[in-house]
Amino acid sequence: MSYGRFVDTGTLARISSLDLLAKTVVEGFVSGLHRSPFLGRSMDFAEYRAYQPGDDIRRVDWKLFCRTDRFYVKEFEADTNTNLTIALDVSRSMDFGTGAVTKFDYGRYLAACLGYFASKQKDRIGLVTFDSEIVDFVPPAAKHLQVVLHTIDRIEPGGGGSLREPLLEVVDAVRRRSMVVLISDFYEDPETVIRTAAGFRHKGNDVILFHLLDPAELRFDFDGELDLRDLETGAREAVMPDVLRDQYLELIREHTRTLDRSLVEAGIDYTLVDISQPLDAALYSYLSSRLYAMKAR
Amino acid sequence: MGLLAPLFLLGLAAVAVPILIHLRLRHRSRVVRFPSLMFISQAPYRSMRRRRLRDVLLLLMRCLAVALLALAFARPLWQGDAAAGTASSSRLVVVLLDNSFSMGFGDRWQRAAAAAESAFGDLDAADRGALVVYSDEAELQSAPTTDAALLAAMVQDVEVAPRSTSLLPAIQMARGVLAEAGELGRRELLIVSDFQRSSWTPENVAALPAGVELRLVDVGGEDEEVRNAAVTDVVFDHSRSGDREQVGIAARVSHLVVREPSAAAAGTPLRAEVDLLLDREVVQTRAVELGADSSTMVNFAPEVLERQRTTRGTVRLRDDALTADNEFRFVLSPAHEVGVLVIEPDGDRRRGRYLEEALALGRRPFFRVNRVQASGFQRSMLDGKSVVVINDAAQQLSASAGNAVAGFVRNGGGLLLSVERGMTQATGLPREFGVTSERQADRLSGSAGSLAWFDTGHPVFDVFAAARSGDFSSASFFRYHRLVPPEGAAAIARFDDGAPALLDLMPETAEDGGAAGAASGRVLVLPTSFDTFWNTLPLQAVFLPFVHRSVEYLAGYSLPRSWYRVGEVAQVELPGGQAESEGDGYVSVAPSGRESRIDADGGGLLLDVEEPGFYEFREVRADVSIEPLTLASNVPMAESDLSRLDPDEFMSRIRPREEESASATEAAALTPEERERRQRLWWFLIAAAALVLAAETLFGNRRRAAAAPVVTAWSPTGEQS
Repeated sequence: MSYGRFVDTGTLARISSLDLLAKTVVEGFVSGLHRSPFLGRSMDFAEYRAYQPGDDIRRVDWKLFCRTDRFYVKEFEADTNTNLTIALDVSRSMDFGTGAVTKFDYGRYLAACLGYFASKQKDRIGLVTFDSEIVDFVPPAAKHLQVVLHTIDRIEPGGGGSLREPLLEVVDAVRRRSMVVLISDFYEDPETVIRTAAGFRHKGNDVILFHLLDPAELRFDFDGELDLRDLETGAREAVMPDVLRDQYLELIREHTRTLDRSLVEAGIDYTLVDISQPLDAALYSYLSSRLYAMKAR
Repeated sequence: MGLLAPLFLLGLAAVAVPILIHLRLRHRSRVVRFPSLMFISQAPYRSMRRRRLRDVLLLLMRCLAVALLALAFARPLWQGDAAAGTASSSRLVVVLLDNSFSMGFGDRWQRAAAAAESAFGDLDAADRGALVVYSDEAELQSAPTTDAALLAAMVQDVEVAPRSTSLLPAIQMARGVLAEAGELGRRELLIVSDFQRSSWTPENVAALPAGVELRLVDVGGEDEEVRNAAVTDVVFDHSRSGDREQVGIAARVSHLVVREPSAAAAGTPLRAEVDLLLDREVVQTRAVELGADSSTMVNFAPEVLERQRTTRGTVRLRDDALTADNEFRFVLSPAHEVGVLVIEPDGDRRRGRYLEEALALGRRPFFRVNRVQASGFQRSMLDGKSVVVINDAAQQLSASAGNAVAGFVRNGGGLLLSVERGMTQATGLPREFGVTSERQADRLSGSAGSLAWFDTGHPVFDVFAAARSGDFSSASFFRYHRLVPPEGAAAIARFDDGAPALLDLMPETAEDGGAAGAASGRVLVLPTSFDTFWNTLPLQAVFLPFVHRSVEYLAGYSLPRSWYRVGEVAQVELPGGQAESEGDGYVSVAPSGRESRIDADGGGLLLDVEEPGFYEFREVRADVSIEPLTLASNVPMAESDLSRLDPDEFMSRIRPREEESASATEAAALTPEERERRQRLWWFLIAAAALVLAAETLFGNRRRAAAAPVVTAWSPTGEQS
């Protein structure tokens, strides 16, 4: 299967409507599949679950309420209406890109596409945006696609800081077992990232990490003398890229390797995404994880 | 610090050129927004900072080079001693170390060496030191060097020398060393000595280069009282009894006490024993008692001299702190004998009586006198004679006798010709030698003639050179011939009317010091007689030495010296009157055993006496059984006097006085051009600029090489290219 025919990120950037963008990408992606192994649903009862705010009250089992005077929601086995919570990093470091789009835009597109895709699957879609704290939280719901897309559309790059605190808040916010997609550039200590992602995992969630990096961050192909300014802290550092390149590349390669190795060991999907590449690679990674989740149940 | 061409300082404005170029061409850094400096800050290498630092260093070097060039063209010069003194912290220390034999008194030498080593030990790494060892002559042991250990080792190698002290040549040498060192840095002169008074005469004046700091280390200043006894002289009295020759020896022993003004007067006299050694054996001993600052003659009983042999003698004083001057060495040899033939007029034997009596009193040399009347003269009588005295008998000599005497003179003999009555005929020997008489001076009426002038530089009269050493004015001359000296002759004495009183017909022979005597004899002509008939000279006290000196001069005799002093040049006569050494020359053996080849020139063997003791001379291929020539040498007498020089007085003479200040001022008042030319600071500045530029080139090239771009690409999959 060739992904080259999909619309590149430069073209996507010119599509103003996030809804249309997601539809374009996902429909194109889906039509490329001969047969989707992920469609279909089951009505086999699985369990009762205590009602939580945000649950559709139509799924409340009223009979059980009459007997117990408590609200329970019925869960079904292999319920295709699984929760998808997209955690999108909107810190200022994401507002960087040397190509047609920034990491922030790419993250927005990816989140929109994943939301649209999940919506097509009849999954419940939720959204958490965060920088140094949670900025927006949309609980997963089947009809929240437009809310999610609207939220994604109006979000702006915010502050910066450590990812640890906001990610822990996201862990707390995702109360139902969900598929959690974490989109960030992960400028954080790998240990912190791994521990936080493992937090999701320990709560029974399936976790996918999309690590967005610009080609400039991957290759550090600057020249001349530079004054690098940190987007989050504003700190400046005078460097000679020619001299510094090897050391920098070694450091970031070690960073991604550590994330990859440790996350895989923890049963967490990790995908390094070059934002100059089309979105389908990321989508394919998502679908692979989705299939794995269905089989696991 | 001054500048000869300060306008060139405007060239400092050129420093702006590299600055402007630097500002214009410098790489302007682009500000790039980057997501995070997380990995940048972890990189250990801050390339940009180092590069900027290099750029600044390069800029500074370029600016420095331009500034140095501008300063060099401005022709800087140091002005003033203070500036010179403070301009550099490095020092030049010149140490004058006295090693005369007076330094051997007590522990003076050990203290002096320690002071010199300490001075060199105090040198810093950048300081330089120089060592001058001096006695009566100065020797630069080491030119200025920073190797303090080498200088200290040199001090340890120096030994006390048996020589006297003279500060002046040492200071002059130090002055040269200090002057050559230039005016940069501190310059110090350290004199380590016992500062004997004899080392510095009141006439001595020395100036040091301006800015030199003078320090004295007086190793003799701690002694309140210094006693030194020395044998300073030995005199001999030769006498003959038949064929046996005896010599009486008398030694002068001095006891010198030097006290500090505050010290009590010395009351303890010197009690010591004085030994006389002949050929290393003590033959006589005398006890001597001497008060402070006094001397006495110690007389020894006459000793018989062996004929045809040289005897080595030593007078030795026992028990004294300064031992070098306690021994006085000499050689004794049988007195020389000069054969004299006196020819007298016929029939009057009284006329030669004064002359005979005078010659009979000769001791050194002895005169063996034979008298003969003119008619009895025979040629064979000249055999074994060195001098012929013709006492107014020339006109009576036959022509053959005259020829014989003339031939005797041509063969190197001496002739003392006294002319009186017969001179008017102008015949015979006077005519043979070209002497004529203008007329006969008759001073019977009026005042008698007197000897008004004599040449004290001539060997005949040199003994009368000192004041009150000879009074010829008391002698009256009633008649004499006014001689006309022939060409080449010299009047060595004149009467009060200007007429020659004594003619030396061959003065060049005297000037040659006897060297030509072997080929041509000497002739003295006295225009009167050796009796009281025409004058009263034989009745005067000066008659005896006058006759002796005249005959010794004519015989070419010179009193052999019994000893020399260290520092003198000895002339050793070869046996048999050889003027030149034959064969392979001679070997001299010093008292220390050091042997050296020595060749004789016209006067015999010449030797620089450097050690006290006995020198021996042998022919290179001579039989060892042949007795060698011997020479005795002693330490300089002046060094035995340990009287001290007042350091303040010395300093006042060393410090630039009025005239030296003037010379120093003159030196300081050198025109700026001259000072600048001497200092040549511009040269150093140019050299420094060249070095800075070379360093800048090297540094800049390395920087460019290091900045060559290296591009590394790394893909998301981890592949590196």
